[in-house]
Order: sequence, then structure tokens, then C-alpha cells
Amino acid sequence: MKISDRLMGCFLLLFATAVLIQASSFPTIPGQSIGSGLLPSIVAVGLMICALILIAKDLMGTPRPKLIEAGAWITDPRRILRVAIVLLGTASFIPFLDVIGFPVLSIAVLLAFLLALRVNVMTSVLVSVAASLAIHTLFSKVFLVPLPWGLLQSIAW
Amino acid sequence: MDHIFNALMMVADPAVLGIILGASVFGLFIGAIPGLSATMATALLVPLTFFMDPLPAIAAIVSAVAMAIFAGDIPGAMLRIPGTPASAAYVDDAYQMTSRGQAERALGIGLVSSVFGGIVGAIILTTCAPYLAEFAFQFSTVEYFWLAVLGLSCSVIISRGSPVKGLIALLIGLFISTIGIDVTAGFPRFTYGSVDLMGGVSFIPAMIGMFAMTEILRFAMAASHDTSSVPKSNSTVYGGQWKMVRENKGNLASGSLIGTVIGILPGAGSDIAAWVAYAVAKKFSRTPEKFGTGHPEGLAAAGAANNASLSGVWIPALVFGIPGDSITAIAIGVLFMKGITPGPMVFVQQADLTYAIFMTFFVANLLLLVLGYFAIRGARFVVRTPAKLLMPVILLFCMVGSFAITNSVFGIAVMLALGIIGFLMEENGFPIAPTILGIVIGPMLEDNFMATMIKSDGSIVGFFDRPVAGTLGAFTVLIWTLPLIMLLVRRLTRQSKVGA
Amino acid sequence: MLRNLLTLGLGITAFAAGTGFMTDAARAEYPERPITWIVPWGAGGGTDATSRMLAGLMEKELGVPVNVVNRDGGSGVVGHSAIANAKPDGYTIGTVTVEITMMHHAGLTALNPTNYTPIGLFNADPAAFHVRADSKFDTLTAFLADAKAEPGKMKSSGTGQGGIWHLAMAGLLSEDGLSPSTVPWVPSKGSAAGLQDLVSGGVDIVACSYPEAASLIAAGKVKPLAVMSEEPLPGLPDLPTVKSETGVDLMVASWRGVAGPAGLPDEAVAKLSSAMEAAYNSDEFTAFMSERGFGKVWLDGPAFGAFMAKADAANGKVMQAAGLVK
Repeated sequence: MKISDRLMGCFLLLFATAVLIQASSFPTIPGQSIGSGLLPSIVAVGLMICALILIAKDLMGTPRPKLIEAGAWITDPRRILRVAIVLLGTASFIPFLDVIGFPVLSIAVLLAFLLALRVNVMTSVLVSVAASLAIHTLFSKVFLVPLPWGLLQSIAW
Repeated sequence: MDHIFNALMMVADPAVLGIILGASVFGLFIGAIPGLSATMATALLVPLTFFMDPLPAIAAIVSAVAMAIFAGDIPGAMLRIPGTPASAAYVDDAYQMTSRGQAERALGIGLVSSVFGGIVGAIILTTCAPYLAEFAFQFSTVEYFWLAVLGLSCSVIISRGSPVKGLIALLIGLFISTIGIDVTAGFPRFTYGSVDLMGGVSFIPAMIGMFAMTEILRFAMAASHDTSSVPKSNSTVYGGQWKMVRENKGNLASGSLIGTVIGILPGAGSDIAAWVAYAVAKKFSRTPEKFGTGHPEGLAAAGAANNASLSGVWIPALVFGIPGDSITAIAIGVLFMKGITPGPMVFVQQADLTYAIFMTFFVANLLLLVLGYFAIRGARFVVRTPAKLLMPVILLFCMVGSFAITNSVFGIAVMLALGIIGFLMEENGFPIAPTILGIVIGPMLEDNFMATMIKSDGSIVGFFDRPVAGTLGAFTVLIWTLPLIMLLVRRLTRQSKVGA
Repeated sequence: MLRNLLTLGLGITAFAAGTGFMTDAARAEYPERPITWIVPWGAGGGTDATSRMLAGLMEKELGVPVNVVNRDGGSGVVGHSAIANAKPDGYTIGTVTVEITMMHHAGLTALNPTNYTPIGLFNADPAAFHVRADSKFDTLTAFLADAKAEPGKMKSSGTGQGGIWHLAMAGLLSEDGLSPSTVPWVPSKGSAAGLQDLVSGGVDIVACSYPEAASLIAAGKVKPLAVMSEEPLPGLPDLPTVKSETGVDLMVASWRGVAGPAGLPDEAVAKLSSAMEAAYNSDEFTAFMSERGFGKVWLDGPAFGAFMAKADAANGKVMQAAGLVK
């Protein structure tokens, strides 16, 4: 995904302004003129200067690149599906991990990703189940990481 | 001399050697898994050390950590998932070599330089620990502040491509580091009521996101997936390494020294040692443009610094009981439990044991030469696995690894968010390494700046009026202004030539 | 392909439901599975070390694994929230530290001691005041007299802004009739960083517990002046108390206890308390605490609850006086 420097610069400018506005409301340390807002403000001002340079350079350059270019993947439904599975699959862990539990969720996400990569069904099922259970056992039993069981709590071992 | 001999006899005990071997294998295993850290390896060993004598207990920790730190380079080189913030300094060089079919060679360089740095560090630890510990006490918040600025300067040297984009990357990292409760004012920043954000963004999930998640996204967008994840390797672990050592004598030596000295400083020492070593190697290299494209020089210097700092960090821990990082903090706890109080007296009262502990640093590093070889060879099967089977499993590892750091889904959220940011940055020519460095150094920079301002009642003089601070400060200012001065000198000489 | 997926999904759900039903019918006594123990501070610190020791010993009493999990960050807010928000089934408990009586006064969270089911208190360490070994001060009185003569010149440290040791310092000053800005507080990441700054000449006095400074005291780098307890510390009869030295009757201490989320079932509380008491009284725990220099203090669940309520009010008052309440 190619975003032109002038568009990126505008995003950064907006972001830096928001940071600066927020940082100005941060308290100072008792007895000092500076406080929690100092570093964020310096960062914001720095980002603004850099963003302006970025925009200026891009506008002066010829030929000017396209404002935004998604890349070849955007025309291929299969690739869009894969990107969606990676992003949404990962994101699904955030709200659902505690409820559904690691084993079921990870098998589901892994299976979806493998199938989208055109791995045959048998191998996909085998790899997703084996990898999920192996990783779960390794992390929760050996490394004592509290991966939730969720739905399978009652058969937890 | 008696102490050294007695120490040797203590270490030569088959039971001790057996424990070192076991702990080493354990350390290698943990370090090689993305997201699992050397700290975790240490924490998991503690219950086992309850049943051990003091020497094997500490030896187990020392060897597991040395192995875990090296093993962290394996997923770094193979999958672009750095094991520690330190190895993020050279992960691109290693990964580039792997994609040219030189995975074994890249890891071999990492291995040889790690052992080199580890042994130099161990020699320094054995010979001058008490004197160097005094050096650490010259450092108050001012000196730490300058050290942080020095670390940030490194990112400017390290980053490739457009300097403006490098600076933006660094500023983004610094911004991320300000999220959470500000230690100086006890005030939550950019948290919007979220308890998880109050804890801040920890750098392991950030690193996993920015390096590994970006790779997975790029993979998902690629057209074909029928190749294995990396080209077939045609290199060997130890082939040509002797030549590498001869060619990189200077880099290895300076990396080891920088690693040990910076590692001594409690706090962020071992995290930035590799970055400084890498930047120094690049600064003095005849081919600085090759850094970051799979070049051995930076790999050698930073790899040596990484392992050397592990010895350095033990110096204040043993001499004054000051933990430099969470690993030595746990190790000090183990020492106490065994009835040994760290302090200058350990060199008198427990001399045999202290030297025996130092000896285990040598044993562990030599063992690394052997076990590291097998670990690299074993990692080959990862390279041979078809990418379309490997990548989904790596995604799972990334998620579990990020979860393990915070023990909550917040780690996964951080990984995903920074993965997307990292992907957009790389696609558009922004380097990632400065962002990681910004996240690591940000708190050190800010906290020490604020503390110094409070101490000097807001006067800028406070930043220069101590000898070490003055030197460091002048040095840093010089680094930033040197290119300008050089430019000016060149202009002037050219003008005088024209004038003549 | 889709059909295969569907069958698999259904299979898993059916399996889960089936087995769930079976174990429900044959519910065993608490505890029947591993217990997760949340430590709101990082690996390697005092809270981590003591909690792991205690958890290891309680594991033997309870007969199921007790897995210690670090949830650090946010000055303790993250971990304390995780304990309070856990399901109150007895399978998630944690270490609760003095900060729970402070952070809601500082406006960081709404959490307070009433959000927990107290199980027991196992440790308390009073604040002590330390100076560099070559400092001209040999008594706290002498230090305070100098501070009064030149307000703002000497600096203090020991932890972050609004941390427990900051409270001790600010409380000492305000109880002595001085403004807390007489000796400004330099925030540090913790007592180790504060002590490093003391030895390197960055600050003039550090407030932290005696065991935290013990190894530097033994190394001849730091000397303790006084301790904030009723009686001198065991084994240190020559270290005066703040009360006897300056007349300031203020006791600030850091403490650690075990608690679960509010509304823990009685059966679980009973099992956990008795397991904790047995672990606390074991020789191993006693030896560990005395070797590391941690103060051993025992209060059972109800007493610990009352203790927290009292500490909450007292710390709120000191924070108010020191200007740390938001």
C-alpha cells in the first residue's frame, strides 16, 4: 500500500496537532514550569516540522506520484480474503479469547488462514489442530502462561 | 591463585556441568520461541534452584540466559522476529542474509561474535569487577540522560534512506513511549480511561508486531505461495568464520568493550549496548552503505556487544547488589536465598564461589559454540517447511508470544496495531528500527531529564556541571554538530583554494 | 470445503458441551484445577519474590498448581485491576500491595480495598531514611534542621511521584511542620534507582525500606538514619525510630497481602486462608523472609480487611497534606 508523502505528511500533521492539543492540558510538576506535556509536545512539534518537509519535497518533485496506490493485491479477491483473515483473525482474539478460549479460537483462525492459502483440507485440519494443541500445552504447562480455556474449561487438563 | 584453582574444581564437578548443560538446552529452547524472553527463562528456573547448591543455581541462570539471548537471533534471522530489543539493532542484516540463502552464515556470525563478546565480557568481569562497579556509581540521572541522548543519536546513524523519514520513525517511537502513567508526575497520558494503556506499550509485542506481523501481511498480499519461506541455504555455520573474525577484529573488540561498559550501567544498559556498537561499527566502516543489507560487520559488532553486556550487568549486581535488569534482579534473589549477600565482601568471604560463578560464564560461552551449532542446524527444518504451512503457525506464535508478555490480550492488541503501523511505514520507505529504539529509550530520556531539572531547580547548568556528565554531554553535542563542522571546514578550505 | 469446516466446528462444540455436562455432574471439592496468582509488579522485585515463595508453599497445601503471573505496569494499577476484575471463583487470586490504598486518592482508578476479598497479610516493611555514607548528617534531626535552614536545597528520592516512599518523606516533613517542598522529591523508577542516584551524588536523602538498602549499607556506601516504626527493627537496636528521634508520630510502611476479587465463595476463602497460614508459618518461608530481610507480619482475612480500611484513611490524610490528592 503506497501512500504518497504528501498524504502521509497531512496525516502526520493532523496527528501531531492532536497530540499537541492534548499535551498542553497535561499538568506540570510542582515547582517546575515543565511537566508531563514536555516530551509529547517536543515530539509533536518535531513531527510537524518533518511532515511539512515531507509534503514540500513531494510537491516539488516531478513527476508527482499518485496520492494513494493500494497495490496489485486489491484486485484479487483471494488475496483480499487472506489479508482480511490475518487482520480479523488476530483482532478476534482480543474480544473473544477469554470467552471462546485459546484452543477453539486458534484452531478456527489457523484453519481459515491455511484454507485461504489453498492448503488441502486434510493437511489444514491436521496442522491447525496439532499446532494449536501443541502450542497451548507448551505455553500453559511448561511456560505457565495462563492461556484461557474458554468453552473447553470443563475439559481443561 | 588458590581461589581460581578452587573455583575450577568446583565448576568441574560433573553435577554442576550437568546442570549447566540442562539449563543451556532449556535456554536455547525458550530463546528460539518468538516472544519468550530470557527473563522468562530465568523466572521459570527459580523454583528449580530451590533444590540446588548456590553454584549450580547461579550457573543454571547464567547459562540459560546466555543461550536464550543467542537463540533469540534464530527467529530474528529466519523469520525477522528479534528476540530482544538489543537484537532488533541487527535483525535486518541477519534477515537479508537469510533471504540470500545465507541463513547459516548469518547465524554463524551471530554465534561466533556472541561467544567472542561473552568471553571478553567474562574476562573483564573476572579481572576488574570491583573497580568497574565504582564506575557505575559515577552515574546519576544527568549521566543517564546523556546516555539516552547518545542512544538516540545512534538511530540517526543506523537508519537508512531518507533522514526525514528516519526522524519521523524515531518520533513515533518516542510518542508511543509516552503512553501510560508518567513516573515523574504520576499522571496517565493518552490512556483514555483504559487500565491496560496505563501500563504503557511494552516493546516485545511492539517488536513482534512491527517486524513479524509486517512480514505476515506482506506474505498474505503476495501472489504466489508455492515457494518455501526462504531460499534454499547454501552456507554452513562455521564456514569462513575464521576469516570473518580476522576481518572484523576491530568490530568484535569494540563491540565487546562497548557491550561490557554500557552493560555495567544499571537500567537500560544492556538494551542499548548493541545499538551503540552497531552505530560505532557503521561510523568507522569503509562501507557504511552496506549496513542493513545483510552485511557482516554490524552483525559482528552488535552480536558481540549483546553477549558482552550480559557479563557487564552482573558487575553492579554482585558488587553492590544493584540489579541492572530483571534477570539479575531474580538472580540476586536466588543468591540471598542461598545465604549469600551481594557486596564487595563476596570477593573476600566467598571468593571461591564468586570466581566459580565467573568461571561458569566461560563454560557457558564455550558450550554455546557447540549447542548453538546444533540449534542452527535444527532450525534449518523451519526454512525447509513450505511457507504456506509455516506462516499461519508463525502468526499463532506471534499472538501467544505477545500474550505471554502482558498475560492478557492487550499484548495481542499492541502487536496488531503496531503491525499495521509498521507495515504502512515499511511500504512507504520509513525504517522501523528507530521506532523500536524510541520506545526503548523514551522513558529513560524523559525520566532522567525531568529528575535532573528538579534537582537543578530548572537550570540547564545542571546538565554539564558534573565531570562524567560534562564529558558525555560534550561528546553528544559533538556527534550532532560534527557533520556540520566538517561541511564548514570543507567549504572554507575550498574557498581558500579558490582564493589562492 | 465449507461443509467440512462446518462439521468440524459442530464436532468441537458438541464435544465441549458433552464433557462440560459430565464434569458439572461430578463437581469435586475446591480447588480442582490450577489457581492463577496475579502479581501486580515486575519479575525480580520484592513483591514478585515473596509472592512466588508463598505461592510455591501454598501449592503443596492446596494440592493443585498455583501459577504466578506478572501483570506489571501503570504503578500497580494494571495488576490490581486484573485481580479485582477476575471471576470470583477462587481460581484467580493475587498479591495486593499498599498502593491499593493510595492510587484511588491520586485519581488513577476507582479501585479501593473494598473491591477485594482479603485472605491474609504476610509482610510489612516500615519506611527508613538513608543518606550517603560520607554525608555530614548522622541523625535525622540534624538533616531536618539543615533542610529548614535552606529550604529547597536538598533533594530526596526513593520511588515515583506519589509512591509509598514519597508519602513517607512528604509525611515526615509536613508532620514536622515543614512544607513538602522543603526537600523536593526527585521521582525515580524505584528504590534501586533512587539509591543509585544517592550514591552517585544526585540526591541527598532516600526514603525506602531497610532491606532495600541493606546491601549498599553492608558495602559501606549508604548509612541509615532512622526507621518509621514503633519499635527498632529486630536485630538493629542502634537504628533509632523516627518517633524517638524527631517526635514525629507517623508510621508509613509498605505491605503485601493476598486477596481475591470481591465476592469470593466462602469455601474458597476458608481453604485459601488455611493454606496461606500454614505456608506463612512454615520454616522455609520464615527462613526466606529473614534472609532477604523482609518483615514478617501476619493478619488473617478479616483483620487484613480492617487493616486495609485503616491504612486507606491514614494514607489519604497524608496524601492530602502532601498535596498528592487529585
